[in-house]
Amino acid sequence: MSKIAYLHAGTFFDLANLHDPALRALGIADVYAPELTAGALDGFDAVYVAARLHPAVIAKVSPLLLDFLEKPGARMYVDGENSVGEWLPGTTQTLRGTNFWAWRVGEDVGRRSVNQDHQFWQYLAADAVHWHYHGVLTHPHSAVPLVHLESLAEHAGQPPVEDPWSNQYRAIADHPNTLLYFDDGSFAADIVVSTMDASYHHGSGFMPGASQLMYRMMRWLDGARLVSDPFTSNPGVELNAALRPIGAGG
Amino acid sequence: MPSILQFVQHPVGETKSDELFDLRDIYDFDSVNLDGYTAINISASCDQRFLAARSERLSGWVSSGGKLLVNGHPMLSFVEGLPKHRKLEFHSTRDLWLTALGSHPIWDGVDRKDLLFNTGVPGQHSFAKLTEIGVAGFYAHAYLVDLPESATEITGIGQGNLPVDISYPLGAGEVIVHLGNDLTAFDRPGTSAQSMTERIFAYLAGNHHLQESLR
Repeated sequence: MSKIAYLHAGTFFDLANLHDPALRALGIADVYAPELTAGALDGFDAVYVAARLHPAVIAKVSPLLLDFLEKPGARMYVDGENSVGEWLPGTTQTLRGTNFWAWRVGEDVGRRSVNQDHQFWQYLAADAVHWHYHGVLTHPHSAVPLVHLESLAEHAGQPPVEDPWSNQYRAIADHPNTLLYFDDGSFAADIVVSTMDASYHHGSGFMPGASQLMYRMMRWLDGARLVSDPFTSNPGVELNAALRPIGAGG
Repeated sequence: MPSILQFVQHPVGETKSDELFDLRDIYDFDSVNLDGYTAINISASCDQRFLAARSERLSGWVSSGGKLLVNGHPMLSFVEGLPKHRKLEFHSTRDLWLTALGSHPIWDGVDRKDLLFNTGVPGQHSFAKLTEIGVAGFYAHAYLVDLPESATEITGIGQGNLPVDISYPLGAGEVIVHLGNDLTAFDRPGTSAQSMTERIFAYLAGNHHLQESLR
C-alpha cells in the first residue's frame, strides 16, 4: 500500500479530513507542515499538499517538496490556493475571481474539460472538476492541461465581470488559462496541480464536487510506488546499464 | 491603540494607529501582548493545532475579562468550554434555514433570513429573488454540540434549530462562537444585516452607544 502524506497546516478543514473514514482507509499520514523538517517526507510514496497553506509555511516546505519531486515513481498533488507560481518551477499562477453562484443562474463561465483522451482522465470526472477555481496557470511544455477556461464568443465585447471581491473570473486573453494539469516530464515524480481547493471544501463539508476531486486525487496518489535507487539501495548488485543515469558512464 | 485584536492565517503588514483593530498573523500569537485589548477575533482559517497548544493562555485572557469571538468549525478545544463541531446533512434551503433563538447584542434586530443567502449577481436583491439565485450555507452548514450549561443559543440552523451562534461566560469574560465563515463577511446592504461588521466591532470594543445607534 502506498504511503500518502497529507501535508497540512492544522486548520479546521485539515483536521476534518484527517478524521474522514474514507481518507483514513487509504492510510493517509498526518504531516503537519509548520513543523516539517528535512527528511520528514522520506519513506512516503506520495504527497497531497493541502489547500491554502500559510505563505510562510509554503516558503518553509517548498524546498522539501521540490526534493520530493526528484524521487522516481513518486506522485504529488498540489491543491488550490498554494501560490504555486512562487515556488514550482515552470508554473505561474494568476488570480481569478470565485464564481460560486454560476450553477444557480445557469451562467457559463467558460470552464472546459480538455485532452479527454489522456490516460489521466481515468482518475477524473466532470463533476470532480466543474465547481469553482481560484486562478489560472501557465505550465511547462511537458504538462497536459486537463481543465481550462475558454474565452466564449458570447462574451466578446462585454465588459469584464467580477466576483463580490472585485476579482475578474473569466479567461484571460492570450493565456493558457489552465485550471488543472498533469505533468510527468518536468520532475522524476509525476505531479498534478490545480487551482481548485478541494481539501478546503471537502473538510468544510460544503461542496460535493470538491469531495469528488479530493477522493479521486487520493486514488491516484495511492498508486504511487517509489522506484528504488539501484546506486544506493543495492550497492553490491551489478547495475543494469539501462538504469544508469545519463553521464554515469558504461 | 485599537482595543480589538484580529488573528488571521496569513502574514500582515503594520497596523495603522487609526484602525479599529490590530490585524495579526496567528503564528505571531506568542509574541503579541494581549494586555490592553478588550477583545480578540479569531478567523475561521486559523491553525487550530497551533491554537490548541495555547489554550491555557487564551482561556486565562478571556477569564480575566476579555471577549473572544471564535469563527469557523471548532475541531479542537483551544479555549475552555469550546463546543464541538458536528456535520449537518442538508439537501434543501430548509435544511440550512437560520432561526433566531436567543438575544445577543450583535444579533438583536437582525432578521436571520437576511444572512441566509450569498450571491455574486450584482445589485441588491429581494429575499424572493435570492431564493432563486442565492447560495445558502455560507453562514453555517454544520452545528455545535456539548455547549456549556451557561451558554446562550443565539441562532439555530435547519429544521431542528441546532445551534450555530452561541455565547457563554468564562470567568469575567465571554466566548462567542459563530460556526461558519467569518462573521465579518455578512454585511447585507439594504437589509437588517447591513451593519453586521459595525455591530460586531462595536460590541467587541464595548461601545454600547454605537451599538444602540446601529439598531
